[in-house]
Formats: sequence, structure tokens, C-alpha cells
Amino acid sequence: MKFSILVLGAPYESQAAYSALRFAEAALADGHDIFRVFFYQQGVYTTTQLAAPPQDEFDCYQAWNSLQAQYQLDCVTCIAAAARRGIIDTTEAARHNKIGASHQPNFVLSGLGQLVEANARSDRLITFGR
Amino acid sequence: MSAKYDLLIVTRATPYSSAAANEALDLALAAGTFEQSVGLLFSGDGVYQLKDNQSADALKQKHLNRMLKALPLYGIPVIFVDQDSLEERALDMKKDLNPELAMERLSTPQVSALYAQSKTVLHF
Repeated sequence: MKFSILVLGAPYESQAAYSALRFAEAALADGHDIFRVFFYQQGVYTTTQLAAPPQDEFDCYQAWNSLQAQYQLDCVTCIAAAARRGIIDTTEAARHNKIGASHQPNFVLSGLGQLVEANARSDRLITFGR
Repeated sequence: MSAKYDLLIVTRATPYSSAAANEALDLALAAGTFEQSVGLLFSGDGVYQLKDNQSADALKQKHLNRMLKALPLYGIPVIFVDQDSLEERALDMKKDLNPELAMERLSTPQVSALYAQSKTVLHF
């Protein structure tokens, strides 16, 4: 089956980002495809590269980053939701005159059309966080 | 069986206490732009988004009306309102809600039917 995943909750705020990670791992291990992972609302906080959890805690941010790299997942963060919350890449940082970039470089900042397309092109869109 | 709606967005958030209401409407407009058939249901505290006489500027926020009024231009001619949610909050569609919006009240069985007719349901 071809899944897309919508993440609406942030690490430490809710279980959403971790549950979505476990779902993605299980689906991929079972041979399913993941068309896209989309981060929206508080879910965009999952895509920061600046979070530094204590070393004896599970690092949900790094786990998502590793899963993306391992499977070359199409991980997309809503650009408007992200910019509001301080998740920006180097292009956005330059555009808004901010001191640095916070977005995971292997993830993509893009618009809500990517979520709409994911819904249209996947067998199932699975939401985590509401 | 093909679904009547590609996407049903159920918005249950109060208008200004978080970005949820705004971001649900953003998605509805985006999906409309991409010519998807979109159902939009206001339920629970989400019905407060439709209340007439809001003073969003007092909270330094943008009034949701601007987006709500644009919905027909994006292929969403009518928005659905859960009747039970109105009654639980003592709101009358004619007296209390924004008269500029085209709304249709749905009973619980009609809400169930709406869910059944939708490929994807997203809650905000």
C-alpha cells in the first residue's frame, strides 16, 4: 500500500511525532511505500536541526533525520506554518533577514499543495496529532 | 465507489486561542486551489469561528472572516455546521452566526453521511 503521513504534533508536546515515526518504520519494514511525510501545525517543530535533547533521552529529531536518510523519504515541512514558528532554511533566513537556519537540510520546505497532492496520490493519508 | 469529497476538513478549534483554525482554513483554500473537492465541517468549539461580531483586532489577530468569505471562490460554496454543537452552545444560526456566510446545518446522521462520502478526513 502507498501511505502518506501527516504529523501535527511536536516532540515533547505530544506523542504524535514519535508515533508517526514508529508507523513509518513499521510500514517500510513491511514493504509498504511512503509517498510523502508532511509536517504541519505544531508538527513542524519535529523538523528543527537545532534541538539538543539530553544524551540519555531518545532523540526523536535525529530518528526522523536518520529514517529520511535511510529510505530517502520525501519529508516536507509546510513553509508558512514553519516560518511562523522559527523553522527556516538558509533561503528563508536570508529573505527574512534572520541570523541562521533551523530546518533539517535534508527535508524540504514547501507549500500546502504538497499535502493536497500526497492525499490525492496515496492510498491512505495517516494523521498523527489530532 | 468514488467519494464525493477528496478531502473533508473538520475544524473543532476556537477561532483565536491557537493557529489551528487559521491553519485549517489555509488548507481548505489550498486544496480548493488544486481543484480538489473539499468539504468543510465546523464542529465542537469550531462553531465559534462563525460567530458574528468578532473583534479579532483586540487580540492582535487577523479576522477569520476574510478567509471564510473567500471559500466560494476556491470551490467551497457552502460550509457545513454541526447542529448539535450549535445547540450545546446555545447558538442560533440565524441570530448569532455571520450572515455573510453560506452555511448548511447538519444533523448527526447527516454528519455521519458526510464522513462516509469523503476519501480523507482531517481534524483540526
